[in-house]
Amino acid sequence: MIALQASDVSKSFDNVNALDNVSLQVDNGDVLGLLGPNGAGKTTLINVFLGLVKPDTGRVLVLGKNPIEDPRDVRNDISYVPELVALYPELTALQNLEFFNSFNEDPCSNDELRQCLFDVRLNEKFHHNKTKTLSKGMCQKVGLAIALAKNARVIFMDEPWTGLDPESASEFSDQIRTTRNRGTTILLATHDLFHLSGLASHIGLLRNGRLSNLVSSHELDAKELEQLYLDHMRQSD
Amino acid sequence: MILAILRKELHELLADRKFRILFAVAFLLTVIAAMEGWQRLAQDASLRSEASRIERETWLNQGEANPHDAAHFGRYALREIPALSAFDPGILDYSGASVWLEAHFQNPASNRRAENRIDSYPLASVTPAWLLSVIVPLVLVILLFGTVVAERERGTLRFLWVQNARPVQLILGKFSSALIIAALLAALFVSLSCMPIVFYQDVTIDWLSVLALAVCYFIAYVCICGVITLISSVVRTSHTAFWLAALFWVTTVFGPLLVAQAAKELHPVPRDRDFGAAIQQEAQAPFWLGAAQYEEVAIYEAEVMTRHRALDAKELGLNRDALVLQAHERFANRVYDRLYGELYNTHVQQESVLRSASLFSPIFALQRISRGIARTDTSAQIHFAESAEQHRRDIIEQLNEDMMYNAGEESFRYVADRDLWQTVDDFEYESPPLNEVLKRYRLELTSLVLWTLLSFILAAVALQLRSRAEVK
Repeated sequence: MIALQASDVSKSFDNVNALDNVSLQVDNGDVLGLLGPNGAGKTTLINVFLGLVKPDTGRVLVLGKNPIEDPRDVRNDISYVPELVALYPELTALQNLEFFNSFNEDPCSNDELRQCLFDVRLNEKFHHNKTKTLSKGMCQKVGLAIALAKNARVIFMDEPWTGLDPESASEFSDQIRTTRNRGTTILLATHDLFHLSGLASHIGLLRNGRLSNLVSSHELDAKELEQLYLDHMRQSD
Repeated sequence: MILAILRKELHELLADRKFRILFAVAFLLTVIAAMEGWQRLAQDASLRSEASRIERETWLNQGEANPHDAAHFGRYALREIPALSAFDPGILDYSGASVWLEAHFQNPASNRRAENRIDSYPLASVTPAWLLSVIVPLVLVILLFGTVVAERERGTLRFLWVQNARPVQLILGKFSSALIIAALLAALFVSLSCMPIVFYQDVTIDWLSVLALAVCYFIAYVCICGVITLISSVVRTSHTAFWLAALFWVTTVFGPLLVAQAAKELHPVPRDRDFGAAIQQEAQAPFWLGAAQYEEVAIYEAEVMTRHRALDAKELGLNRDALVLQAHERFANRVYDRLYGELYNTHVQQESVLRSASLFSPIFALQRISRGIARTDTSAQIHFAESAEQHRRDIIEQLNEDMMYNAGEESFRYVADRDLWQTVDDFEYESPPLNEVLKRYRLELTSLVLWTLLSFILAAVALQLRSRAEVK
């Protein structure tokens, strides 16, 4: 079954093409990694899927539903981990999780929420720390816990490794892998090829709003993928 | 879900250092103002009690005198000090605390507290009502201006939309937290302000009025929270939200001052000199120097005879001088009813202008209701003056009638003594009841409720529209 579908999606802001006839398809349980430099249109594409940006032409479907026409239905089944996870700084990690969990159709119990924080490997001693005292990596973990608590069928992640130290980035990758293995469809936007390889089932290369390549990661080994990305970056320049 | 928003809002508020500091400052100032209010109440009530005792003794100890001379000797009607004046002195300092009751003249209230004021240190004029109606709303402005817009700037609003939160839920959550914050602030500060009064034995405190005050402050605080939430929902930056909310506060606090000035210009009260001259010209001269006396005396004489079923005044042995004196009272009373009626009507017209201002200023509406409930407003002052005048008429009539029935041919040589003076009642004043006060201020109360509902509804609509408009 198709989880995500974009057909000829274009979007421009102030006459600058953010997305230019982008078409793609992601099957249930797949992980699509969108690679591209800053300004390539990765975040815009995620926002289109989230129903936060309306495409000028074309349309997108999330689990068969249009996020612009039916945002509430779509948002019941999706989660989003932004580059900077927006949390309430005066609430603890657990309180933030409890708060966002309360908007879910089927909210988790407190024990399940605590388990979510364990699952994302947030040390228990930080569960009751205000998020203003947590590092960016810890906030990312709380963001992922919020996504997991929702038990969403599709998770969108925007630059999840940016600003994380190597250890946190590696832990975060492990967590994404675990989530993927549960059958969750994931769309990852990043320019971090290193962490993406081995995680994504498909990789799309975005340049100036155009999706130039969409390849299965099984078709390429790490070196070929790296070469493809470098070629792609050079073309971008 | 709404409960979760409510809990989050309260949690954030309590964790906010700004809140703790502002709350502590407001608390401290309220304690000081409450003590100051208690002190002024104690001082006023003790002065009043002493004055009342001396007034009664002076009246009783005036010695033997003709009753009409006693009527000129006069008595004082002293205004009862309302217990809640310690909370909200309203216009009490600037309106007379007593009325001299004498024959032939209806006197305006005199002895204003402001005339004898010695407590001129800065905090002396800081009353609990002023703090609660001006400073607490400012605290709310400072604490809540970012309630929605800060969420947008922080990114949590966008995160909430993706989590499938609805704008109306968010506003309802914020409304619920406003209810709780307002209830806590109103209950705490009003009870804190009124607490010292409880320990003062010489005044009776009307607990229903205290409760009504707390409820009114509660509604007003919810209303202010609503307006700030609306501003915060409409604007794009916290900076703009702060300045707009501050502008709202400044306008609602100081705008009514201009309206008060306009009310005075639109409906000017006559100058004391002109008013006094009008009384002399209309209440005294036409009777004593003109033809009005004959007609008035004839009517009154006929009434007295009817009352006693007599055919001739001589049959009753009425003293004619006393009859004329009382006839003049009746004549003058009608003039006073008209002249003072016009004066009070001017005050009522000024009040109407002020009332219309309260439609545009929730803080002003609150201040008006507050002094109404404290019985320190213009209406309470007019009520006191009218009660005093009624008492004057009663005692002058009593004294004139004593002379009329008992003086015989002695006329002004007739004297009465302490036995008569003791039958003259002291002035007992009862403030208007609470239901009357609330009825009088129903427009202000309605205005507060409407402001509250409208602001929260508009905030929900604004947020709904904004959430759609953000889909670029």
